[in-house]
Amino acid sequence: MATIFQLTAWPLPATELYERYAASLTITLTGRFSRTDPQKVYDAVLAAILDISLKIDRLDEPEDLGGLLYVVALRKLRGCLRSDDARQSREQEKGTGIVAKALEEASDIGEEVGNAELLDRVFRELATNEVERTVLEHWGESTEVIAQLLGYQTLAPDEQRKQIKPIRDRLTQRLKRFLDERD
Amino acid sequence: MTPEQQAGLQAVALHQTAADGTWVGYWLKRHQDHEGLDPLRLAGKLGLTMENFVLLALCRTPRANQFQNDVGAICRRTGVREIDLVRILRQEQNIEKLHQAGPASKRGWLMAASDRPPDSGDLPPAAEGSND
Repeated sequence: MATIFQLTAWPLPATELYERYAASLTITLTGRFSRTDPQKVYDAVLAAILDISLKIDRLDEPEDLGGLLYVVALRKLRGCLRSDDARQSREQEKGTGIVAKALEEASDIGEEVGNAELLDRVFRELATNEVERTVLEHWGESTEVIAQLLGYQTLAPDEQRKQIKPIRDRLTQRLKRFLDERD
Repeated sequence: MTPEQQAGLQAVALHQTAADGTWVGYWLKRHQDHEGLDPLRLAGKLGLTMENFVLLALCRTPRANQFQNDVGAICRRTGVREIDLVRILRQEQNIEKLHQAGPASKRGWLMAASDRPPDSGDLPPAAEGSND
């Protein structure tokens, strides 16, 4: 077990903190955030260890390093999750806006299209699975962007188009039907 | 901790230390890039387990004024051979210095050429065997 003296010795603090705390922090945080991508937990744990190791000789109570690391890692993880949420809601808003515009252009049904309830119905009724929902949410984006979102980025551009076009065609058909039924 | 979690933590430790010259991991990553090695291969080359390779990456870069002491502490802690660590650090730090200095300027070459004594004439000496 490393002493505080060893922890503050120049080249090794992060090494000692990693050995002593990385596993327990990871287990605690993955348990608490069981639905979160574990990669984000690892990132938070390591960032906390590196941060604290650089400040270890300035800490008031270095005895409670475990508690301190937990708090710092938790804060970093929450910060990361908050930015993810913000990004997702921005994307969703953008996607919703694009579909609203497409509907407006396609059907000329005026103000009603902007109605949130209607848009909600569009997403619910037109997209039958996650892939279709993703394509619908990013309707105005390029094939390249959609391919990335669907995890097709390793495919050749032609292959990406071949995969995405039928989905777009399917959704266009359903969108037309949806609009016809409304008229 | 599961093996997946351990591998995940190790990968992140290597990734995060590779981004900042504060850590030995930064120099290890540069060395990997220059030598075309992945972490596993470099660890093997250094005779280290992946666990100790990650600990090595997490060490702070030795200070110039405490270089021997810091290198000694790192070697004792991680098991890396001193000669291997010093070679990687020196090589990568020198390459970085060269990059930071930028390419040699044309003026530098011209100044070197002008070192010839002025009384030796304006024409360069004829190449051996040249009749032109």
